Amino acid sequence: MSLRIRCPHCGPRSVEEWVHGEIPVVPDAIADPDARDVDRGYMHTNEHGVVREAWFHLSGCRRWVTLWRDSRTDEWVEPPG
Amino acid sequence: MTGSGEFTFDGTAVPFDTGDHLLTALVRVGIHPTGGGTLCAEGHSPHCVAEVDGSAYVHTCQTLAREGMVVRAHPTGAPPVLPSIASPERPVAVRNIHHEVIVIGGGESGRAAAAAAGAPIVDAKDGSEAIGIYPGPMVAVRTDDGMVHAHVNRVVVATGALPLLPVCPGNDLAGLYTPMAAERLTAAGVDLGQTVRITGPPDRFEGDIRVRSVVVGGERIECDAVIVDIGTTPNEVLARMGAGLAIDTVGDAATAASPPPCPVEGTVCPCNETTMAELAEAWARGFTSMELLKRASLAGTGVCQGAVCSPYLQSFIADRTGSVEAPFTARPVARQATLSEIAAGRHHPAVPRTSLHAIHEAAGATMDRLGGWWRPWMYSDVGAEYDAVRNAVSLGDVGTLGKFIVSGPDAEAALQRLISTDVSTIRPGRSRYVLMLDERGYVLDDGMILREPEGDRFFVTVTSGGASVAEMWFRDWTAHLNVRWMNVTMALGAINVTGPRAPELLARVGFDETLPMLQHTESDIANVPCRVVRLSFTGEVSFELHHPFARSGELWHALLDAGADLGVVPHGLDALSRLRLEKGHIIVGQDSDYDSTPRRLHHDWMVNLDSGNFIGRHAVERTNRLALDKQLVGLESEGPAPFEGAVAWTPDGEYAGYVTSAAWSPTLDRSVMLAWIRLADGELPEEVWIEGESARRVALPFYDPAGTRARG
Amino acid sequence: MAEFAVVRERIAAVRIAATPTALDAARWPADATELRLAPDEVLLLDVLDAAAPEPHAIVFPDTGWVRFVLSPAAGTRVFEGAATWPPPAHGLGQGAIAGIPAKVIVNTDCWWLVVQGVLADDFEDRLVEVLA
Repeated sequence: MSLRIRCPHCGPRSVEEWVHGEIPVVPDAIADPDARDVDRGYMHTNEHGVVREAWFHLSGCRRWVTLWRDSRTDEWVEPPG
Repeated sequence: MTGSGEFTFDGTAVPFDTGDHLLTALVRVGIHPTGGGTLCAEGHSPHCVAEVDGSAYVHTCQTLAREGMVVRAHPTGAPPVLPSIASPERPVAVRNIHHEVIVIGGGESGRAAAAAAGAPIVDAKDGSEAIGIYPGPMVAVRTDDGMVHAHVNRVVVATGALPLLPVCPGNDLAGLYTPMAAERLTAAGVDLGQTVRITGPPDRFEGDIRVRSVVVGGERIECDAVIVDIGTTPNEVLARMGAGLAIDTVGDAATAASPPPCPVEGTVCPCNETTMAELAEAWARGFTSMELLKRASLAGTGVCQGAVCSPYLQSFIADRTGSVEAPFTARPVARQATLSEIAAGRHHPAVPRTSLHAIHEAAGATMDRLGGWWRPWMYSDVGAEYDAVRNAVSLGDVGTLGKFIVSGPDAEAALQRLISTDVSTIRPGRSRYVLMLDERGYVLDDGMILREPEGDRFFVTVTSGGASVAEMWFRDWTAHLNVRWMNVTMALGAINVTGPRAPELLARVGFDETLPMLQHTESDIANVPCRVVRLSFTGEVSFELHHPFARSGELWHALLDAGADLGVVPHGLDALSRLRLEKGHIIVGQDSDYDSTPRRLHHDWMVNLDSGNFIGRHAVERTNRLALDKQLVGLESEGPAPFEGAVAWTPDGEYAGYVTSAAWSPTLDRSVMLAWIRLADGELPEEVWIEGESARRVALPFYDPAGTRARG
Repeated sequence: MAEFAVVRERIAAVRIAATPTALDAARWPADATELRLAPDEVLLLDVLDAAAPEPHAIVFPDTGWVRFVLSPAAGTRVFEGAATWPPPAHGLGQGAIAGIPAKVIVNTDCWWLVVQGVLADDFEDRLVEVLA
């Protein structure tokens, strides 16, 4: 109902303001877009643990935010490493 | 007895005193709301629920009696009928509050926790009942004035303990009370008759409908009522809502009670009528943990959320494994709630209105929600609107188009990546119709790219309703490039001036340049600064005028005034969809599907495999090596236009595909369609049957194949 | 109730997309109210034009916004009834209000709620409902 997602620009906001997206891994060079083709199209690991997620703050700054969430507890965690 | 009013229970008048809860008044006249089962008078036992004024699952022990209330027992052996009452006149209001900590429960431990944290307390006794804890955390609280949504960083659950309800044969008889229920009913002047208090687990209760005797420790005691005083269990259902939420449990709610002795027989889950025998059967089938046992037996999935059965499930498992399992996860809500209460604070998605919305309404247009916007479907006569475009000049509101400005040293590189054509060959002042593909090579959207005279600046349009998705896509893929994006969808109005006399109309309002097809320029038109784009969706000479949002009205009126003698009228979406269909132009989302490759869409001419690594390029190369299985094609028939979605059959009666767009063409005097059609043995059929009419496959477009009209 | 009167007005505004560092360093016309929509985007209220803060910046006179002016009491009531996030103590906040993307500017004597014109009619209806 109201999972809160922290926007670094706008502050914590309810999940209704956001669109969940794929992991925004964009290769530095565009030499091998296949890497992302395959990942995005076919590989969904559904990790049980800390996952990297992309959220678009549609009702606020309209920018992508990358966050790390523990899928077991819904806790937002610091980026590993 | 003063008897201050009456309500009805299954049609029978029941008197009540001021301050009575429904249950009190019912028990006073010898009625048990569900026929039998232990009553707790604290809102936990499922045995007092009934339908009250159309709402089912209402705890009668928590509901004050009011004059004229209509109370009905739930049907036996079936769920209560869903409410048939109309929508409430006013939505339930919500009050959002923000605190660091909130404490649920105003007992001793709750007050101590609140004092330590400087936190507010919600307590059902004070009319603030916490009914659920959601991620956030957010505590949903029901009050007499509506819902309170408490947005906090930490929740303290101090909801105390619950009385254990007995599990044994006869536990579904009337006349069984927890100590609290007996105390409250007696205090309200209810005569319970000859009562017996038991402090150990009963062997069984005996009686027909009402209890007549209780057997405990092998001894039978005759009675009218039994006060079942067999211990408590922590009331921590709220604390079990959502792993990982910042919830602390204190006081009796946190005290781990050892489970009661495991019952031998009887109904363990009164909500779902699960018996101890059924638990044993589920266990024997291999469901040997708390969560599995719950799912296999349904015990704990009913109205009371395990208030009765949860401790007994623990003892049942402990008897068999020797260890006490944690109770199962709970889900909001912990109390019955109306849909209005659940919907409190929620809103329908707002549908945007273009800068010309009020003008369309004033002109009598039929407005509809199409492609995520309110848009005019038809003004008054779709035939006249169509004729104006084909034979004179007409205005269309295209302010719904997704619109973007792109700038920066990497602007061209960004678009090269996003677009399946060679953007580098679009010269300043020129534009091109383009496709965006996803990584799987499927068409995501179509649109126009305009290169500005500056060279490293572009204006991009996408399908109406596609702007937000496009923006997410653009920003995601180009975040690391030296490029700036601005979404100007909501900031610009746009009017399409279309028809053979469009140049004449524009000349009258100050635009007399010769602007060739697919070129654009900036110009003041009727004193409104416009970006003028020469293109065509209708098949006729067309100019899109993109202009400041606040100035749409004056531009629209100036064009209508200047073109009155030319026959200018506005056209709605109904006319537009016919006009574009005659030209074979697709609408992404209507004619395309989620697996539409450019080749399947018959748009492979829009893919330039020599233009570098645009998104989807590798997928297009891969799928191009596969045999083509289906294609979007043009069909014509002499019959009336079929409905969109109509199935197409081969002459042999095999499934061939389905229609995505269809309309009667006044100009061609036949029906024209776009349809997905399967290839058989590598060939598209020449003829299919749709709604009993023969349809011929023809080349696109249907209208003006040479394109001379659009080029003027 | 006069206390909860809502004034609706169109605003002159300029929107600028530029690099974050250029926006950090930029100086805007004195009359402008600056709303930093995102690290790389700013909305300047009550001005007609502004200088580009860097050569590739997009400077866009934007007539697509509507401002609602409310008393602090009314603004507080709107947030209580229709927003799941707390209003800022002062200055800009942005997020959904009554389900519609909105900006709030908390001034000492009044609050501004700024939404896109395409949603302003719906927003006004919802403000009226929550203030009723």
